[in-house]
Amino acid sequence: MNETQHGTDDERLVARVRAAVDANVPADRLAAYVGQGPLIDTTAGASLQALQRVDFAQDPEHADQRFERATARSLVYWRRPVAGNDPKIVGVQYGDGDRGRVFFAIILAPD
Amino acid sequence: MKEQRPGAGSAVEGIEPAAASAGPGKRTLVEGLGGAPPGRAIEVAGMAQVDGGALFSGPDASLTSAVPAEGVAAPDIDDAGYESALGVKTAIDSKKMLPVAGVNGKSFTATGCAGKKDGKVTFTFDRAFVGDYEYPAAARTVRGVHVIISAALSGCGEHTDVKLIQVLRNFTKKDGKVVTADPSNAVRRARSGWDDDKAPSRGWRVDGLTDKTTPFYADNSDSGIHGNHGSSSTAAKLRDTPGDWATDRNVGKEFRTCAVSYAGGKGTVLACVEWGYYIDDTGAATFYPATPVTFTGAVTELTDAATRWDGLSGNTPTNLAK
Repeated sequence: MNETQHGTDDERLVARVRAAVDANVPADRLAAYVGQGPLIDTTAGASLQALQRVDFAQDPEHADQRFERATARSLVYWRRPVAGNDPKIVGVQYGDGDRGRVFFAIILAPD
Repeated sequence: MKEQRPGAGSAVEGIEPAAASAGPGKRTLVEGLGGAPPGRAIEVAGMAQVDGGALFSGPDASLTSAVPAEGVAAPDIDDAGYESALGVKTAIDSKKMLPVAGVNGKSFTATGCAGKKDGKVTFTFDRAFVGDYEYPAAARTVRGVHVIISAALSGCGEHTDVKLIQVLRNFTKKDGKVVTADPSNAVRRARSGWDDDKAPSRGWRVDGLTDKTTPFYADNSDSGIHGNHGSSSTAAKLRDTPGDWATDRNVGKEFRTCAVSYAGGKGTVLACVEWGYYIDDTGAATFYPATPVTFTGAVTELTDAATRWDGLSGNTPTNLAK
């Protein structure tokens, strides 16, 4: 993990995603605003249907910012540059007409 | 790790405030193609194009689609659409996933069901492939199996609501023997009774995403991507593509897929089929056991895991008949 006087890569990524939500950046501009390509961007063609089978497990370090499948109408997320066999992600999910909200999750291998 | 949260910015780089509008998506992940509120018109713009999923029509904000009222059949995803959406079709076409000889396209029958000794529950593996497929959601490769299992009843009497409940456990091998393994996630551990050394069938859990609260493998709220319920005249179906990361070694999962007939709120287990996969120390994946095994009635792993599931707060109970 790269660490500089401005924090780790992960801290910078998370801060940038949070800033995007605070600034109400629309989903289709999130990737540009954050400055790095997301892992998944449903506004750019990623399959929502395939995501129905993805296990977005709660990240215990961010238990109050979990992914809410029932209200997610689109989402954009990035893999966090942190250790772990199962990828940790940070992203933004959009519901029906509301602002985006930040979520964290751990993607499990499929059962 | 502590996060640094910057102050909220009032300006978005290169974006006019008017562009920072409502959320772009118009359907939720759980609504999929068939689970939106009845009679509600919802927009379908901004979604990915999905094979077999005509409602995901692309980025045209002017489009709307009236969702059928409850009880009207929605255009569920089919097997080909499932395989395309998950990347399994690409894996099969490129031979990274190969058919399992003796299982792919074969049927396995449990004789005797619901008190009828000549009744049969036939589990057909419409698909049984093993190998690797790409998993864009995690930018990783999954190694495991892909199955589509249909459960058809014959001579079992009248059953109007047959649901599939699947249980599984992680396993590894020590000295050549199968040993239950840690499912490595808090929810999966709770469902598995992992924290209790004396838990019945410890390690076995009802299969489902960690945020799911219904025990049935197929779910009417998710466009049928996991399969469908059945009856005495319609086969219940399950689509599953489990695995581990392709870098993992000496890991596997065992499954019991069970057909359960519901009447009066109680579920009677008609039959189960055992299947799974194992990835050895060299990374080679095989179907495990080599040939599926059927069971008439319930299996202990199911009833124990179901009892555990029913005891977890927030879960819809399985209500299996004792």
